[in-house]
Amino acid sequence: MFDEREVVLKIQRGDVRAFALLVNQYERLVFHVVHRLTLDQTDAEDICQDVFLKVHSHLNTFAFQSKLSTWIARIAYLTAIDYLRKYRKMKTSELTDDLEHFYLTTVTPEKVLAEKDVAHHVHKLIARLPLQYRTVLTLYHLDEFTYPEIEQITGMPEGTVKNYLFRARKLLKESVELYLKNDGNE
Amino acid sequence: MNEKDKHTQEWLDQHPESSQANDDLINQDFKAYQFVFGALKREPEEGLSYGLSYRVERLIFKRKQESRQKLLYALLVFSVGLLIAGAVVIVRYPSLVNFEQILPGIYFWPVCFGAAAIAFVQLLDYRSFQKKWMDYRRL
Repeated sequence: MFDEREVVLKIQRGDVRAFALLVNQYERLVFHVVHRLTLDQTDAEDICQDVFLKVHSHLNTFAFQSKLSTWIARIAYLTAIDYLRKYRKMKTSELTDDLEHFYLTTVTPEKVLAEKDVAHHVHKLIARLPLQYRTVLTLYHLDEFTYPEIEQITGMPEGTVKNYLFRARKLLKESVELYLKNDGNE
Repeated sequence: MNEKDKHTQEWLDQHPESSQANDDLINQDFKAYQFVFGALKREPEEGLSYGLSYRVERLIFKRKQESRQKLLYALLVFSVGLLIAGAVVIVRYPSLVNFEQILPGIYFWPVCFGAAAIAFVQLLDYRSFQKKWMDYRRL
């Protein structure tokens, strides 16, 4: 059983094994957030490493005012955004929405037909979604954070989180409907 | 249309394990949503390569070692600077060779002892840190 308070206190006292425990416990969460943002395996590995170095050096400031997972996810989110801005020269406008325009111009029925597996198809679609939508979907569905926790992690208001989640899922549903329809006609 | 989508999404959020919906919800729309929710729960195919915790610990150790080395170098540079300054003073003012004139007697030995103690603690700390790391790696 992972007791976050005990582990954090041990790390603060300099226990190296306790930190390894923390990394093993949260590496999947950090990878989910970072990989969904960068969409690149090598970059994601480097950023994950960076995230845990930051966690280690800032753990003294963690005051248990939120869950440790929320705090770590926020560091992962901010580090990945920082990376995208710095190395991929992304502007703030590119990091936000414009979902409808994006959908209509990138997903054609031919592309949809080429996919053989619905889940695989959905994952490909998620990768094409704007960054903020990918983040919200990942944090909510894969890492099972609540709306207020996602608000803490991303800094987006709860209403925006709900709206992004609703719109992204609706868009994915429409695409899957199209996929199923085409599949049935084959 | 949006209301219906909202209703379906809320229902699936509340019944994540369900394969059957209420009668009024069983339609193409609901089926598509079920696929989406199922796919969203699935782990991505890619994953982290093995040994992240080991790589991170190695980097932490390296950084700590580097910062300790920097501190030791800084102390060394400071000591060398002091020695050079002392030598210059002695050459220019040979009459000051008597240390008790430079540093009054009541401070001389506490200052020497303090400096030696700091250097000794640094050395011990560095060795214990190195030992802890080696012990951990042997586990």
